[in-house]
Amino acid sequence: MRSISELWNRPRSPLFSLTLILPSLLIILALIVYPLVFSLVISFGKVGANFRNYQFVGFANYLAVLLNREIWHALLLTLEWILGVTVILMFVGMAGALLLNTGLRGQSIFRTLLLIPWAVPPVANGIIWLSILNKNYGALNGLLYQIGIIRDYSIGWLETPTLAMASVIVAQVWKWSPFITLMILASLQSIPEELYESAKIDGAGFIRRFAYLTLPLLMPTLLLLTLLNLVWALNAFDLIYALTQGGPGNATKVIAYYIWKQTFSAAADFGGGAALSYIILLISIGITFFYARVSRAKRVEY
Amino acid sequence: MKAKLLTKTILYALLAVFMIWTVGPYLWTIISSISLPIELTAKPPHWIPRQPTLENYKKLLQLVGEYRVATATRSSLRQNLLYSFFISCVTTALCILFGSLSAYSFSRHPFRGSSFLFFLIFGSQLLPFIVLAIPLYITLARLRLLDKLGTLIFLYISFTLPFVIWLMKNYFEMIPKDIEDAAMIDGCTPIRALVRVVLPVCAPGLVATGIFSFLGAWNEFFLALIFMSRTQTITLSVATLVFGWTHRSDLPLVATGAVIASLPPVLLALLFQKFIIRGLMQGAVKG
Repeated sequence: MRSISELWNRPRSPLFSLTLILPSLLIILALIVYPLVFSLVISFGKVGANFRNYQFVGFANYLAVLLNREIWHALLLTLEWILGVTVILMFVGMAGALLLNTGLRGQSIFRTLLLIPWAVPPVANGIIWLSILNKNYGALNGLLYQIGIIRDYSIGWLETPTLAMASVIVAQVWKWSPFITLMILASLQSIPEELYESAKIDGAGFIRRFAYLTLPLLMPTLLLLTLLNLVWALNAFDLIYALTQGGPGNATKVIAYYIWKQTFSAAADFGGGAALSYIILLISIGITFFYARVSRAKRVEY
Repeated sequence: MKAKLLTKTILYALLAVFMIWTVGPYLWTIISSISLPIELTAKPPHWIPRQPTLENYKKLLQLVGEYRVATATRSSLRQNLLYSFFISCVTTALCILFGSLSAYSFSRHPFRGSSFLFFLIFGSQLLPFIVLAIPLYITLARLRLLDKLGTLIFLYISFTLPFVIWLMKNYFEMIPKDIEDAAMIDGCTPIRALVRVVLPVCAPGLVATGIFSFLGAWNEFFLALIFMSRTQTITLSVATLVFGWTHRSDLPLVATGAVIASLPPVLLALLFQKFIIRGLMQGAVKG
């Protein structure tokens, strides 16, 4: 007994270190690692309605996924969704950060207000935009009517297939652009002032300073944020569920929503859902590896 | 001089547009929640209510709704509010406890393979939720653990812990090691040094971490929908949406639901903005 207590109280003994990690490790093993492995098993089989009968079917689920045209449609929509969200988010976030970094008055108040959309639950975000975009009583149509752009409440933001995707993207951008702005702002403020001073002395104008100094120094942060946004958008479910439920028709049925629908709501096809979700996992890993390569190549020092 | 004034005016105008975009939608939701239905159905709507009222809040909190998620259940929003509050508090407390112990181990008492383990834990944050949800659902259904508060809490902990460990590790590493070495020379065990010396110095970090965990649990929707939808114990996130859909014609009531669900996280964020912004920004700089 004595030796164990000695080992425990001696810093830097592996037993001590492991004991501290143990609770976290057990929870993560049980609820993340185990499901990850089990999911692979499910994706190669058929699960019965009572969750007990498991029948191995080989690559049948994967084959079914790859041959399903509806899934390819969903994947294309997902591409449109994640690229749309990420590109617009980065632009809006960057614009906000540059504005807040110009030394205007009231910066800290504005920075605080940025936390509002960030803190709002995704579901509330959905409801907020549901009422703004409502065709008959929404604030957006009301605003357009007020300033005379439309004569009648005629635009169905969520009812028109082409507009619905844009509307959902706007709602997602609203919630996440403040976060991007804060992150970019932090990086901007960590750039030493002297660099700008010497660039000014060398006669570099605003645009040149931005292109040759700010942008390269921000690159690691921008790449990381892009990665996070791509992965988050790939997983986005809440907002779509709240705003459009994949509709109208299939216009916003992105892959995360599609899997949920197939697995938990409509068909109870757990094997197919697991196979498809593994494909999504591979896509995420692919994006992450791509990020790792690019970010290593792009690191600059001054 | 004139050119400078012009740039400044343009910058302020742009900033104003940016802030209206950021705050406008939420402000409009609050205005909607204190309006009467006729003020919102007017064309155009009354941007400032002529007769502000708190009637909607009273109505919503007294409402006992019947709604269908998976099966029909009856529940009141007040009850859902309490569930969410309870779940978020327990999740936060346990995340801080387990997270700070692990982070302390990773940052101060590394062992062979600990950096690999840390990398693994950190990487799990990028996993798509849906990959884990399907096997978890099957396993929990077999174990008859669906629709239990404890299940949801443990799920939230497992999904929050990696982030908490990463954040706490960053905070611990900013503290000079000499302080705890001194404490240990004075006869403190490592655990006592953690509790008595390291954690108090990290208090701002603890606050930020706690708020991130609370917000994560409070705002979570997907897991709550899948794992808790068959009983009365649905969380406020799920309840808000279902109430919103059922009463969709009553615009102010729907807006009120959104305000109630978002008020705790928004107030927490505004109240502790200093800690949160510092926490977020530190993450950005560290990458």
